[in-house]
Amino acid sequence: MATRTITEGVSIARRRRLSETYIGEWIMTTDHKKIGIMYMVTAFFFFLVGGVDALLIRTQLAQPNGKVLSPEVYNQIFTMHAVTMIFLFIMPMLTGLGNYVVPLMIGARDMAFPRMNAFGYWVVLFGGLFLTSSFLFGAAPNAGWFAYAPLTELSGPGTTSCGNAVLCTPGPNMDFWALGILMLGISSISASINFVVTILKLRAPGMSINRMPLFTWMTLITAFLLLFAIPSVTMASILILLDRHLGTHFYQAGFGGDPLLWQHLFWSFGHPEVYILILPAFGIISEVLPVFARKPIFGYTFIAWSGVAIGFLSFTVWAHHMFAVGLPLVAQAFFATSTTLIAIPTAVKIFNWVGTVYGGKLSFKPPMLFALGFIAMFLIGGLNGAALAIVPFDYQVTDTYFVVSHLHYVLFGGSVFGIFAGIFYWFPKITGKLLNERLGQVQFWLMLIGVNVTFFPMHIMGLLGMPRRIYTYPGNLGWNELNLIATIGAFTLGISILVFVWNFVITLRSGEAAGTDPWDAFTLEWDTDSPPVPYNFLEIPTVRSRRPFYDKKNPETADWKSVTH
Amino acid sequence: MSEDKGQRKQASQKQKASNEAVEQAIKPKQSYWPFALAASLTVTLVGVILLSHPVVFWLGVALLIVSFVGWGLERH
Repeated sequence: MATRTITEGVSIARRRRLSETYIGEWIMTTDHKKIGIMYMVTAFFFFLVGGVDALLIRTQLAQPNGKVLSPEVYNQIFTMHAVTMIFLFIMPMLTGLGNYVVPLMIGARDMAFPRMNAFGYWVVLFGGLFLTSSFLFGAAPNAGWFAYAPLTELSGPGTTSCGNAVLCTPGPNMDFWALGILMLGISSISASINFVVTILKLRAPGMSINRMPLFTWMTLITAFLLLFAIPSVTMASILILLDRHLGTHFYQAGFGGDPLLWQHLFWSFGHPEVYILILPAFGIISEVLPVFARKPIFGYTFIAWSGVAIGFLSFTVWAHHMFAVGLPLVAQAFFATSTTLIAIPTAVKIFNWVGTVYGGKLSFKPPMLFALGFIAMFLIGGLNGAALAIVPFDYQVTDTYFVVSHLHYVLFGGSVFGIFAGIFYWFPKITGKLLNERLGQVQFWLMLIGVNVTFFPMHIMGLLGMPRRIYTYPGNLGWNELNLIATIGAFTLGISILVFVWNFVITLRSGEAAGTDPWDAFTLEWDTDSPPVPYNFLEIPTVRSRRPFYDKKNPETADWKSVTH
Repeated sequence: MSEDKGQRKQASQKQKASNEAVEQAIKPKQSYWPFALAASLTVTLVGVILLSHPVVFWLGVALLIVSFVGWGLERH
């Protein structure tokens, strides 16, 4: 009898489906929130990898005649530092934040194409592992993140296909680069199509374009930029692969090709890419400042449309990266003018952010600190960028540490500060817990000091003529102390990131419960549970102004009663 | 008093069931094809790196085709 019962029991039990296991649930998920979390966790992992690369670079350069890394390994490390930070940290992190927040902000239940959304994430993960695994073969990309031809052409025994064997890359290093970039491009295109369709078609009733949250605006513009910029680098990568493996000569001057073709194709992607990395951060700042200044954003329309202007202008400035190659004078004049022009809509945004903060009841919580830090650091990056638009000055400092300083003020002082503002701001929504405020403040100040101690001396190094990407330097050029200071700053930045990791761990273990709306915020994502239920909204909300959640909480003083837009 | 409690519990259970029904109706279905397609793409590109062993490349191509077809034929 007992035996029979057990047999029946066994026959009734079934194996759990893959989708019912914990890991299977994540592998098979099509929920934008889970995909957003996976993007962010993956991006943060690669941030740590890229950060270790940075510390290795700075350790090598801390003193003259450094011998921490061999020249071959140094080339791989500095290339992979940039590739990792740009393609595997900032882009996926901003895509992850967008994935999590945008559907909630616009009152949608998910992205328009959930499976394509999941595909985009998995390609980023596998693409990142593919690129990083190149270290295991001792063949990581080693020609800089811009992979200039003919440096990247193939030359093996018995061939001279790049025309100069010394300059070529015979190993698979650049194959990893080109194929990795192709993969990440596929991911970016799929994510962009998804964002465009989601934002244009799935907004809640009443949420006109003119009422969209500014983070959504900037995500939309970024998605369009990606759609138009990625094909150029994809094409360039395919051509270099053809040169390397099928005997074509697109970039080989000795065979009728042109190495500058690479630079034009790459930078016509590469400069919009800078805005792809910074525009979503502009959006984050435009969400955080009004909430912590207790005011509506100042100049919503100007912020939104200056983003559009930046998007268009970003396609007209690429050759300012190429002033030193010998462009015709008229081209130099054109690209210097367009580069100066793009500073105008950027300055408009800064003016509007200052206008938002001015006269507000400021609350210096960590998201606000990072947002204010962003404005200050990005302003420095913008100003030294405007200096680089002046052709004679650019001639003097091209390919020096001045340029390294500029790009890090923009991408670390700008994008990374923006990302941390977003993480501190939306973390309670994502996890239901508040990150520790004190540790957030410690992290902010360490980061602010670290950025300036690391990157400000690089201005002077550049003016003193220190070339970027050099493996080491002799001790008699006046660069020693500045390099040591920069290295101390880099380790300060490393400590600030460790503080964040500690904050993250203790918050997940025993953090303060956040509730649904810890910041008394204005937009729809805060009108959901923390974390939100899988379908986001039981009933899709109706929107009547730019601050729908504020309206709901304050029916007496609702925006739609007094403002028409 | 306990009758009230029972009614409240019943109402809450009813609400939960209703929410779950909504969730089932409106939540996008799970799928392993996005993962499979991305993994196939990776195998194919690893095959390009290891062209001296073309079997990896062709395995990747085969997996890509299977993933495309599987994705296309998946029921919603």
